[in-house]
Amino acid sequence: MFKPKTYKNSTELANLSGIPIYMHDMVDAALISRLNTFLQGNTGSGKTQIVRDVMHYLPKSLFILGRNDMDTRELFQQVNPEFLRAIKTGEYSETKFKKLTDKVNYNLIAVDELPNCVPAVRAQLFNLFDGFIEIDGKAYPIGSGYSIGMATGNIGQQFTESSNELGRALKDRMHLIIDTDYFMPKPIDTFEMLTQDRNPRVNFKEDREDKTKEIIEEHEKLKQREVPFEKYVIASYLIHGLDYLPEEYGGSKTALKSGWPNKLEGHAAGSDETLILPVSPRAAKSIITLSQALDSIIEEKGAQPDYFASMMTAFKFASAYSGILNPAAVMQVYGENPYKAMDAVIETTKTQFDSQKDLIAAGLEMARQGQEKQKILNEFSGRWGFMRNLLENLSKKNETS
Amino acid sequence: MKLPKIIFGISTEEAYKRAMSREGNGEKKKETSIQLSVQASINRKDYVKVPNTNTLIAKFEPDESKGLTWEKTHYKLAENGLFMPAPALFMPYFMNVIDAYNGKIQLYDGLGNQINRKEVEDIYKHLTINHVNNGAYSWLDALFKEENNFWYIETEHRVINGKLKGTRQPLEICLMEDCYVSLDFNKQGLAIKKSNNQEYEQGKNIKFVYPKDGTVAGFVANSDWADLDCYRIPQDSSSDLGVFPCAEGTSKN
Repeated sequence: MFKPKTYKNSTELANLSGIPIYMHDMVDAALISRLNTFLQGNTGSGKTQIVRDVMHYLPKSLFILGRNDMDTRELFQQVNPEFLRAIKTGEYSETKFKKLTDKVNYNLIAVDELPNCVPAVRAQLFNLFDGFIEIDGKAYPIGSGYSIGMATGNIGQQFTESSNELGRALKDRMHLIIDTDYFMPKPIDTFEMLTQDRNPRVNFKEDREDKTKEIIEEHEKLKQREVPFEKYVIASYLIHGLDYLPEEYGGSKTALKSGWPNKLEGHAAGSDETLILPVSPRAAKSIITLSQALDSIIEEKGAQPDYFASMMTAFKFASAYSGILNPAAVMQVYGENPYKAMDAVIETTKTQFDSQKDLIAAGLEMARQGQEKQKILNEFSGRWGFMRNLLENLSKKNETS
Repeated sequence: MKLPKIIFGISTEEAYKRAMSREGNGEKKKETSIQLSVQASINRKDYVKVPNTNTLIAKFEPDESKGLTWEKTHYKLAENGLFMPAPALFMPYFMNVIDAYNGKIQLYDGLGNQINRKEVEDIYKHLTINHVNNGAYSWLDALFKEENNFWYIETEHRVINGKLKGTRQPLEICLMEDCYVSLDFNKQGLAIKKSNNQEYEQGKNIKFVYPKDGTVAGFVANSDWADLDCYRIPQDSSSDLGVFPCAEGTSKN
């Protein structure tokens, strides 16, 4: 669906069912799953061009260049000049704003160099990404049925600092954060881009090719696409299984609060207990949604999706910069590359599922029959303890139905 | 919610049948005498049935198992249909022996006969001090590997078509320092809790030497301590160093 007009990059981000996934596929997946995306990277990594190329297909776009002297008034002016007029003339009523926000029908809110914006402006931009405007503490949904936020910036290591306001806000509000520095275009890509256009400025061509209808249709189709049951099991593992610690260490990483991972120091160097926190239920939803989009792209390219693999790829790209990795371990053990750390976690996850999938299948059959067999339930312990609870409750539901 | 009949490419019905036909009920129960059928040619009286399993483990290291490297020990055991115990099997067994010594459980030999008090004491002392052949000195089936700063344990080695093959798993959380540890072990049989007393207390704690890249596990008991040592060099051999051979059985009951 999304074929960048100018940006070229043949570096693989992942390989699913033998099909390579490139940067434009990941952007495509973000568009059809409507996941707000932040492209992090150094100057010249092509992140702004990607956003520009997306705008090429979504003509109803609002492009904002992040500046530190921009205030919310100027932002509102750009979103809809009538906002300021309404405030100035005293026509300051809920009904008035509702009418104005209804008129804001951008499909894409694109912000270049988002970190340059002051916190108040950033907060409003994040609201716009999520499809609403906040005025005097009240949220007004913006008119368009489909809107997505894409932003770029280069904030480097500040990402890993949980105390950093910008890092925290990005982790909270952006569903997908991709560091383009780890997936740079290959020489042939830059060669082709050079021969295609020697203008050193980012391509701002106005001859847009409107694909809004197709993108929205794909988005609607994706919403209807049935989520395979294994994806819910995998998501449960990412929420609960990754939280597990032996009782001796408190039973839960989350319960250790700021004690994680320091209280585990001296134990199991290299195991995922000290490397990663569980994902939040909200992040798990993003992971499922993104994996659904990746499955759809794989099918479009003529291959059969591998649900586990697409979930792991979605987990990798939705979580590498989401603040769940132990930054000290990423820095010391994985050469500051969070994707390498995610690869290690994924390898453990795969081993865990390989050893448990037969039992999970047996447990599901037990639940379908509305039974609770201790012989099967007792097999789920430790980081798989969540599965016992899940199966017991599914059994009860099936028993009564 | 409609539950699928196939998940991860596995038929739930068939998986259910497999799970239900497996022996045991998944939970620990009080051990009673169970007759086991064993294919390996062994003197079953010289073996202890590891509680809650169908595995037999030798009471002591037989002389013919001694003097070999870790790898050669595997091949030697395989010739007789036997295998080396992994820490995941051996450390729970070690705790069973302590429980039996303290009168909490009964141990049974490979014939299903209750092991008498005197022999339980011998086995216990062999595993905790320099008793019977100067105490335990044996290989365990765990090879530790560090790859790309990630730790793995390779265990369940079996000789297949003349080649030694193991199963690799990520190392579960365990202590990563040399110290005395309490008798709490993770699923892989490795220590997880430092002992409050950093001096040896027979039957209450053991010494733990944490894994290093390329090393294997062993269990030692001598006049000074009992020791789960994960820093043994697989190429080493000694005339005293042997193994507690294990045999897999199936229940006759």
